[in-house]
Amino acid sequence: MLVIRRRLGETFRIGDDVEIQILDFGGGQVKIGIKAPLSVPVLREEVFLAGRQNKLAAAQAVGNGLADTLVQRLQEISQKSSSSK
Amino acid sequence: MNFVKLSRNLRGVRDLAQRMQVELATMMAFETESRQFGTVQYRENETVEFPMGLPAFENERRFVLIERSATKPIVFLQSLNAPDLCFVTLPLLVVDPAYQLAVTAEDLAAIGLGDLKGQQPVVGRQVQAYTIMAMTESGPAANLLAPIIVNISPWRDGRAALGIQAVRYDNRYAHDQLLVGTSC
Repeated sequence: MLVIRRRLGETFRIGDDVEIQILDFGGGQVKIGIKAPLSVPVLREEVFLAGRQNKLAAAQAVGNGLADTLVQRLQEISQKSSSSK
Repeated sequence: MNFVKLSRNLRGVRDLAQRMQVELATMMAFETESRQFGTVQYRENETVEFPMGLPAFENERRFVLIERSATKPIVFLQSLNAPDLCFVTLPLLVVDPAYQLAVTAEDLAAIGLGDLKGQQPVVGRQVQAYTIMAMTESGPAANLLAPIIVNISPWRDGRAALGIQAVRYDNRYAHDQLLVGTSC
């Protein structure tokens, strides 16, 4: 990973079109300003992960037996937990 | 002329009209196409409107919740717009009965729950909560990072519920949590 040190208010660029500025920091948080073309999606990491997981789930949901596998797995789990009680 | 009686009667008529409207709305059946289920009949009070869509599916706003006795407790989230798009979900508390919600104030406001004064909604009371399932190499996994939160109160009036996929800010839960034995 590339690591760069910047002071408050300073900026850096990613490629020609993306500009990042350090706006504020403190209290364990950093406030960052991003200038980027509309074609470049800017997402919180968590939202990116959720979106990627949604795409994966959507690609699997129809026809490949995810639901059946899931029902089977839930039955295994409930049998295991009732026999261990 | 007895105005008290008259206004009481008018109120009665109005209440009756409202009740009939709700009943009519819950009686009216619609149809949609689903690649998973073929033609599906549904009522407005089985649908969920996502004002902001879902991450990576921002244009998909309307879904119907489908349950089948053979696949209980799975809840299928079928798009009313795209027959191909059907998520397999489980009630959040089935996957993790001890799950602690952390829905942001903005997300709560987006589904009409802006008046909770910093409190989290209670699953089963103000909201229902689901987690989207996906198959990973190690088995079926639940996205506990981003549960689907549904404000179900509009269903009582025969209208679509309001939903959001509420992505957490903390890293307390994983986006690919495997099902474990102790939780069910």
